[in-house]
Amino acid sequence: MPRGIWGFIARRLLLAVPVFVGVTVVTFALMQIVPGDPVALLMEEKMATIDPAAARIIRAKWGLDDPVPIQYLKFLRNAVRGDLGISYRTDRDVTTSILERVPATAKLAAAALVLAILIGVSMGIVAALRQNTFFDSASIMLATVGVSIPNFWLGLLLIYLLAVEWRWLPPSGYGPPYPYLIMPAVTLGTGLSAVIARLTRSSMLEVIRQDYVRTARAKGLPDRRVIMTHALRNAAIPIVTVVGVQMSGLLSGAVITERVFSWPGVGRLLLDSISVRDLPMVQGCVLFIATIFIALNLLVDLSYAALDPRIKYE
Amino acid sequence: MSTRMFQRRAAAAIVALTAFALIQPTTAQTPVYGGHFRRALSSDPANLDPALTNTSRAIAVKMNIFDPLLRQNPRTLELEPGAAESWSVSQDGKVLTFRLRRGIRFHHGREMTADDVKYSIERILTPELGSPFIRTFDRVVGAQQFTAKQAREVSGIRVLDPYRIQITNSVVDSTFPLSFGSLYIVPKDEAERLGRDFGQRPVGSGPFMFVSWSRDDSLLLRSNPNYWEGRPYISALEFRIIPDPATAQAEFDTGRLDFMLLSDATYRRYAEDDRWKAMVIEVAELFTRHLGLNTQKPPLNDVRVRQAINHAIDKATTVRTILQGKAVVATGVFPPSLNAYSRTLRGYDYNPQRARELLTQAGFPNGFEMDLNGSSSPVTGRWLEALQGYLTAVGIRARIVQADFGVVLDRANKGEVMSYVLSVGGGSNCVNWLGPFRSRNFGAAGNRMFYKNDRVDALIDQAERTFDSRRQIQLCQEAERLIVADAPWFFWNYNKAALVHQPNVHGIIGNPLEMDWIRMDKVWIQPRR
Repeated sequence: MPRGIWGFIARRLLLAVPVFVGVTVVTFALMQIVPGDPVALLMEEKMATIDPAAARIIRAKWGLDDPVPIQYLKFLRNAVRGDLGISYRTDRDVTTSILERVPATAKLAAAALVLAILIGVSMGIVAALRQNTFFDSASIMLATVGVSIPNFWLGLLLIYLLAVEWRWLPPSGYGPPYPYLIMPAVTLGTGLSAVIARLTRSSMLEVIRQDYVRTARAKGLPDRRVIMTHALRNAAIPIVTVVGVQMSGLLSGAVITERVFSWPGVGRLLLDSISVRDLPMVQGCVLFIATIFIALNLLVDLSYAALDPRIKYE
Repeated sequence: MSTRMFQRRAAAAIVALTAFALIQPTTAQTPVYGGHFRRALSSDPANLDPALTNTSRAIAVKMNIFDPLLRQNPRTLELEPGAAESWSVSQDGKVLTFRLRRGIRFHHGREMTADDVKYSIERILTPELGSPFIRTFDRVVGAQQFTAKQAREVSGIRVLDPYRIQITNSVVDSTFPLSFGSLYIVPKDEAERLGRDFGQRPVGSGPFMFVSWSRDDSLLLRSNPNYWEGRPYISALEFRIIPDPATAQAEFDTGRLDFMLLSDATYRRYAEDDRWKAMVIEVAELFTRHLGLNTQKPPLNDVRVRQAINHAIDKATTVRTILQGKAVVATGVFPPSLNAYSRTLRGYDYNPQRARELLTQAGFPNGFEMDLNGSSSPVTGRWLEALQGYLTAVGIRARIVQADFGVVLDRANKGEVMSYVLSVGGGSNCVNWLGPFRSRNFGAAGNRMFYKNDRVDALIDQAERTFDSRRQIQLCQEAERLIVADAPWFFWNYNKAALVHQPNVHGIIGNPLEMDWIRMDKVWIQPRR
C-alpha cells in the first residue's frame, strides 16, 4: 500500500464534513425558496382544497411553524445523531426508506456499468487499434448514436420490441436479474458505453504512440500483452475518472430509466419527494447521493496509485 | 333395488354429474372463485393508515382493506350500509345514531364494536397524528376541546352499547352523513400496538388482508375468507406501481395487468377498437375542468371580460380534438353524474363575435394581456396552447406559464395569477361542489378566483342546512345559475373516466367519484382455457 495513504483518506474524510453541511444548507435553502407548500400539496392532491385548521395541526406536527433557521438546526442536530427524520409523505423513517431502495439502485447501476465497460472498453480498444478503418468509423458513429439516444426513448423502444412485439421479456417490474434487469441495464448502459468507447479510443490512441509501447513491441512481447498490460493500464486513468463520476450518477438515481421500467430505486424516491416538497426525504436522498459521490471520488483517487505506481499520496 | 345397488347407482350418478359439470363451460354470468388480480397504481400509496391518507391511490387500496361505516353506491351515489347496517338522523338534524352489524371481524380475529368506531373518530381528532381529515369531525360536540387536550374524550360521541353509537354535531349540516362514507374503522388494539407502523402494515376488517408491500414496486393483498359480505371472488389482489403510462399500456397489452385506466392519449385506441370496445368501462367522472379566473385582477374583475372568455373558446372542438372525446362539454359547475346537474342550464355557447362585443363594452376593444397558468405536464401544455389560440382570435393576448403543479397551486392560492387550469370535484353532494365559490374559502381553501357574491353565499349556507334533498338541489342549482352568470370560471368540460379490462375479467363497476376506487370483492376472473 502506498505510503501516506491513511493520512490522505483521513484528510479527505475530514473535508467531507463541510461538504455534507454545505449540501444540507443548499438543499434546505432551495426547498424553502421553491414555491409550493408541502402541507397544501399533500392535503389537496385531488380535492384541490385545504382546510386551514387541519393545515395548522399538520404544520405543528412536522415542526413547520418553527422559524426556518430553527428548523434547519433541529434537522442538523438529529442528522448528527443519525436520525434523518420522518417523511411527510409516508410518515416513515427516512433512513429506512432510502436503505430499502439501495439494493434496487445498486443492482441496476452495477449491471449498467459492467455492460457499459465491457462494450465501451472493447469497442474503444478495437477502434483505436484499427484507426481510420471501417470499424473505427462505425464505432464512432455507434458511440455518437448511443450518446444521443434519450433513455426514455430507448427504454420504450426496447419495451415495445422485446416485450410487446416479441414477448421475450416482461415490460417492467422488479424481480430476479433475468428477466427483469436486462432492459433497464441496456437502456442505462448504452449511453455510458458510448462515452467510455470514445474515451478509451482517444486515450488508447495517445498511449499506443508512446515510446514504451514501441519498446514493448520491439522486445517481442505478444500484441495482446502489449495492449492489455502496457497500453490499457496507462490509458485507464481518464477512463477510471469518468467511470467513477458516472457510477456516482448511476447510484444517485437513474430517474428516467427507473420510471420507464417501474424500477423501485432512489431516483424515483427523490423525484416523488421533490414533487410534494417532502423535505426530510429530499434531504436524506441528497445526503445519500453526496455520500456516494464522496466515497466514489475517494475510490477513484485511490485507484490512481494502483494504476500508476508513480503516484504518491501526500 | 338393494341398498348396495342404490349406493352404486347413486355414486355413478354423482360421478357423471360432476364430470358433466367439469366439462361445461362456466358462463360469463357465473362468478368463479380464485385467481390473482393485478392492477396498476401510478405511484406508491405511501401510507395506508385511513386517518392519514387522502390520495386517490391510497384510497384505492385502503377501501379494500378497511370497512367504512357507510358506503356510497357507485351507481346511484346514495349512501348505503357499510359496517353500520342502519343509521338515523334526529329531527333537528344534529344527532346521528348508527347500528353496527354483528359479527364483523377484523383481520386479527376480534369483533368490531362501537368502541372501535369511537376510537377511529377520536384518533382523527388527535393533533399528534396530524390527520388531514380533522376538519371532517371537528364540529362534533366536544371535538375541539378534545383536540385542544381539554377533554379526554369527545363528549358528542356516545357508545350506547357494543353495537350502537350516537354522534352529536354542533351544527346542522346536511353533508355530515357523507363524512361517514370515508370513515374507515380501525381496530383500536392493533392501531395502538403498531403505532406509526399501522400505516405500513394495516389491519382492517375489509374484504382483503394485507400481505406485503415492496415500496414503489408492488403491494399484495389476499382475500379475507371470513368477510361479512362473503368471501371475495379473487384470491389475491396485487397493486403494481407503474408510473409511466406507456409502460402500463405495455403491461396491459401483454396481459400482465387485468385492467388499466385510460388517458386522453390511449382512450380512442381501445374505445374505437372492435376487439376492445366491449371491455371499456366509462363514467362521467365527478370532476369539472375549468380555467379559474381571478375576479380581483383587472381586467378580469369585470364580469363582461370573464363572459367574453367563456364565449371565445370552442369547447366542443377542444373536447373532440385535444381531449380525444374523453370529456363532455361543460355548461356549468355540476357534471352530469351529479343529481344536481341541470339539463336546462345552457352555459356559454361558442360565439367569438359576442366575445368581441363584450370586450368592447368593457373598454377593451383591442383586447388585453393575461397569463394562462398550468402544470408543467405536456398534456396541460397542449390544453393551454388550444385556449391561447382561441383567446388570441378575439384579441386577448394570453401568455402561457407552465410550472410544477405545486408552484401553480401556490401562486393561485396567493392570488398571484390571472388564470389557471384545474380540475376540481366535490363528491356526491352539490353543497361540497359549491365550496370553491364561497367567499369564506378564499385562497387555499378552494376559492382561488377570489369570487364573492353574497346571494351565492346565502344560498350555499341555506343548502347546507337543508336535509330535504329536492330542496337542497333547487338551492344548489339556483346558486349555480348565479355563478355561471358571474363566470368566475371558464366552464370547460366534465372529465370522462375510462378503463379497459381483459376479456376474462368481470364485475367491475366504474366509480364516478374516482375511477380508481373499485370494489374488488365483486370482481372475478374467468380462468383462461
